[in-house]
Order: sequence, then C-alpha cells, then structure tokens
Amino acid sequence: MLANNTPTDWVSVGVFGAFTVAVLVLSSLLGRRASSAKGYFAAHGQIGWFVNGIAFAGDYLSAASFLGICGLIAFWGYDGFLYSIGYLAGWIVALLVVAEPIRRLGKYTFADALNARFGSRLVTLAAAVSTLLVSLFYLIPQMVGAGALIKPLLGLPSWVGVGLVGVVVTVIVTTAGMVSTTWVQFIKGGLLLSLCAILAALILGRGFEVRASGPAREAPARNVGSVVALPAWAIMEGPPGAAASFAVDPDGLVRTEGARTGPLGPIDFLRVFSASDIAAWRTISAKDETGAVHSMATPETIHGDVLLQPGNSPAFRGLRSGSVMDRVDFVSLMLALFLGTASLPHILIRYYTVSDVRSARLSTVVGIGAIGSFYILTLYLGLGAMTGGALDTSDSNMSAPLLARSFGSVLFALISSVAFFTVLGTVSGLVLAGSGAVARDLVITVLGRTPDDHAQVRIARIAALALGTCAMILGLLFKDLNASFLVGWAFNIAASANLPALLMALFWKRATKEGIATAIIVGLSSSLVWVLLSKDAFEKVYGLPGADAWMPFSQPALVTIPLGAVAGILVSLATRPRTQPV
Amino acid sequence: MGRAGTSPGFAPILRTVPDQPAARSLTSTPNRHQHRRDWKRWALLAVYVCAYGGFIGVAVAAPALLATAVIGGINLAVVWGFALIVLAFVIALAALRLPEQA
Repeated sequence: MLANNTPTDWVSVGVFGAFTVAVLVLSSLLGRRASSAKGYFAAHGQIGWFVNGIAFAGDYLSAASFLGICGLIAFWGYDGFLYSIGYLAGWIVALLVVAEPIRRLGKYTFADALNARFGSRLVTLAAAVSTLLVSLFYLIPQMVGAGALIKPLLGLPSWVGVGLVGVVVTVIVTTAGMVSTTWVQFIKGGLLLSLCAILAALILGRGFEVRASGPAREAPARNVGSVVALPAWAIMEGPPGAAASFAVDPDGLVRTEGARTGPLGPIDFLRVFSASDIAAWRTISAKDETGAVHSMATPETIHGDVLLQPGNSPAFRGLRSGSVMDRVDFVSLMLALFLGTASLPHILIRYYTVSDVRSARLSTVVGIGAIGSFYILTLYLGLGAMTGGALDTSDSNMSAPLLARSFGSVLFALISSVAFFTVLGTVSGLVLAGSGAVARDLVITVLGRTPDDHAQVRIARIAALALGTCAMILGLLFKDLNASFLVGWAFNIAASANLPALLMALFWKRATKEGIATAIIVGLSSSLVWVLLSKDAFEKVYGLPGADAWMPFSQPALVTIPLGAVAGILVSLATRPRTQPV
Repeated sequence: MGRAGTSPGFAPILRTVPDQPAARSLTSTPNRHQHRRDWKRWALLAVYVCAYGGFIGVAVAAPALLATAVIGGINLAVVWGFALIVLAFVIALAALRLPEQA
C-alpha cells in the first residue's frame, strides 16, 4: 500500500541489504571469540566502558522507543513523551542501586547475581522462568515493529519482516553470542542516535508551513483493508481562533498553501506548535449490520498547547476525566517504567561484559547520556511526523520512517534500515538473555549439575534457535498492536517479578532463598494474571468489551510490586534460620 | 552455602550447586561504615524520586497546572519533562564522584 516498485525503492533495498550483510559478516568474523561460556555469555568481560555504554543504548532503544513513541506522539502528542520520561528515569535506579552490585556478584545471567548469596536451585529456577517470560513479552513489540517496517521499506508483507528478523537474529546470537550482540548494539545505537539527530535538525530546518486562514477542504479517503485511511494533515498558525485549513495535492500528501515559518530553533519550534491549531487525525470505528467493524480516519482540530499536555490518548484520557481508576492506572504505569529498567534481564547481563565495577558505572553514565539525548529528540520527531504531511493513519508505528520519507528516499532508506537494525539489536539481547537462562539456569536446575563450557554454549545456541522461532510466531500473532503499549506490559512484569527479589538479595541481610523465590513467583504470576485479565487485554488482544475485564485498571505494578515484596519479606521472616543457643 | 541457605523445608531441592558464585558474595558483604558512606548515593536517588514523583503527582492531582506557560511560551509539562531527562544526566555525572557502592 505504501511502497511500490518504483526505482527509489531499490535505494531502500540496497541500503537494507548492505546493513543486513554487514551484520552477518560481523557475526561470522567474531564467532571464534565466543566458543567458551565466558566469551559467549559475557564477551570475556573485556568490552570497554564507552562501547558498552553505547551498546546499552543500542540494547535499550528498541522498536518501542523509536517506532512506538514517535507514533504515539505523532497521533496523540505529549502522551507518547510520557514513555520517554519514564524509560529514561528507570536508568537512575539502574545506576544508583543495581549496577555495581550486579557487576560484582553476577557472572553470566540474572540468576547468578540474584542467587549469589544463596546457591539455591529454586531461586535459579524462578529467576530463569522470570527471565524467559519477561524476554518473551519484550520480544513481541520488537517483532511487531519489524513487521511494520518491512511494508514501506521493501513493499513486502509484515510476516516477511518478522521472519527476516528472526533468522538474522538467530544467526547473530548462535554464531558469536554476546561478542557480536555487543558490537551490533554499539553500531546500531550510534547510527540511531546520529540519524535521529539529523532528522530532528531537518525538522527544525523545515519549520512549519502555515497560512493565516481559509476554509478547510475535505481530503479524499482511500481504502486500506478495513481502514479508510486519509492522507496526512497540515498545521496552521493564524490569529487566535482561526480554523485549521489544508489542501490536498494529487500525490496524496497534504501541504499548506501559503507562508512558511522557515527554520526554527528547538524552543521556537515548540512555541509555534503550542500557539497553533493542529489537525490531528482520529480514527472512528463502528459496526455495520453484519457485525463487521469499519474504521475511518478523520481530522480533528486541536490546539497545539492541548496536544503538549498529557491526557489526549485513550490510554491517558482518564487524567482529564476525573476517573480515579484511570489516574491509578497512570501512576501504576509510570511506576513500572521507573522500576522496570533495573529489572530487565537483557539489560542487567550487559553489566557482565565490562571488566570491573568502575566500568559498569561509567558505561551506565554514557548510556544515560545517549538514551536521554534520544528521548529528547523523540518529541521533535513525533511532532515533526504529526506536522510533516506523511502519516499513515492506519499504522502509528510507521510515523518516524514515513517522516523520513518526506525528506527524501535516501533518508527514508537509511532511517528504515536503522530502525530494522534497532529491532535486530534489541532482539539479539533478548534472545541472548533467554538462551543464557535456559543453558545455565534451567539446565543446572533440571540436571542438578553444571554442564561443561562447550556444552553450555551448545545448549545456549539451541535455545537461541527456539527463542528466535517463538519470537517470530508471537510477532505475527500480535502484529496489530502499538509497540510501546506492549513494552509497558513487559516493564510491569519485569518490575513486579524481579525488582523486589533483587533488592532483597542485594540489600536485606535477613532475606532467605525461600523469600527470594517467593518474591519472584508471586510478583511474576500476579502481574501476568493481572495483565491478561485487564481492560487493555480484553479490548486490544481478545477483542472483547473492556467493561467485561476483571481488573479495575490495566497496569498492575502499583499492586503487584508491593505484593511480591511483602510475600518475599514474610516468607524470609518465616524461614530465617534459628541461631543455636551457646 | 551461606547462613540463609539451610532451611529444612526446601532442603531436597535447594542443595547448593557448586558452580554458583556464592563465595564471591560473602567476601563482599558490606559493613556498617560502607553503608554510611553510601548516603550521597541515596540522596541523589531521593532527589530524582522527588522530581519524578512530583511530576506524576501534578499530572494526577492538578493536571491543569501543566498547561501553565513557563519558559518562552512553552508549558510546564514540556519543561518538566525535559528537566527530568537533563536531571538524570546531571545525577549520572554526579554519581561518577561517589565512592564505590557497598
């Protein structure tokens, strides 16, 4: 629908092919460095702090951050930026609370650090299951993003994108484990940051196209499956109260007729946006007499200042409605984002790739700088997409790549390929974390002994193959959901399952292995059940009425993190060893 | 291994696996002096929690306040959001000067 066999598409194909081949060649060259367990799982602990810091960014800035947040901002304004704020805030917890103890205590997997004081098979088993489930939940939005990208990039159906990512990631992880994964993430992090900075500069350089007044003209609709998608929109700045207006070019893009602001600085860009009337696109859905759902996208004029406040999107609308449960839902999500980062196994295992505690801290600081810079750019990318005349109203995930297309096919090809690369980097980290949990933690628990070095690597490679296949299947099953929305769930589950247990293990002397395992099991199961019975799941996954949902709000962290912590504390107190009388 | 690893109720399944790095953890158990030395770390965390929690609190309790124009016509929501991101980096730089964590 968005791509066709024009000569410019071959630019995309060429850039995309070059990126993919480069990744595969890199992996094969680094493969021999990962034959031992230490090389495969932790890159021999010899990655430099700067490379590891940028690799943190490459690992963390996933499809949800790039495609999902930009899409949410492009459609709903500030609400998408709330995710940027929450995702970055979590790194403060990682830096100040867990980074150094994790590096000191851990070896290859999340369970290593958690279990350092106890040497318990039950803790190992619980941590391994938690790692696998969190990684799988986090994998879903990445694969959804891959499927969304392949459509405009190569004009192929989404299942091809999902399959391609699955195959390439499996090759990356099985050939060279953490060694190649680190370098893929480092290159991806650097490229993503650089290209987004260029794109933001182009947005500021273009400014806004404006006209003082004039009647609105209705844009022609076009059919995209069951969604009637209208071409994109335009921004107007005029006298207070002036109606937004726009004209439609024959190519389907909307451009304003009249004056432009010209280049704007970062502050002026936001100031002009705040003072303008914006024609933001909204989708209206209705059932016909046969029960089939039809959707139509239509422009709605909203003042820019309103779009730069929270509460526009369906997810955060409760902030303005006065509903107590909606506000609790918001607080719970922001808590999950704050505490979730330090609980993500694929992030925590990156601390094992540096040589010492000081490098762990330095690499986190570099990561925070890179990730923070990116998240500031997301606001400009999202608002640029909203005002760039290139939205696909049927797919919010495509906002950033289509924004790049509005600046030319070469930039589009580069951004889309880097976005695809983004998916590869994050999925590689997730598959590696999952395969480590299987090869070291599950196998040790089941067999009751530790396989030798080569056997661990062999098992991890087989597990990576299985996880890659799972990721592909999940990506196809959930292909219609917004990537950032899904990652919110992964953060809830990670924070509920892992953080109470991690804090207890690191900082509470009375914690027992039974308490740690209980904290994981209670946090994991309660958050998982809550998410699956929530209003969001009913509406967006099962297609059922949200009113039928069992849970009063959708984000469980506010309840399930304390629940896991209380359960862990109570069990620790109940199972603490009695001191022998002297 | 370790004093907490001897609960009889889980004894059959919880026997220590030789490969587990328990020995390293015991050698690095922090003492009271080290914990006291960490107060600056917790103070930095508290500063950020206040800034982040304050933002969430205002968004929930007084969302209209976020619409207030504060700098160059830009509203408080945007300014506070940017400030949280910049503050995270400032705290990260400050953390470089802290002693190694206990």
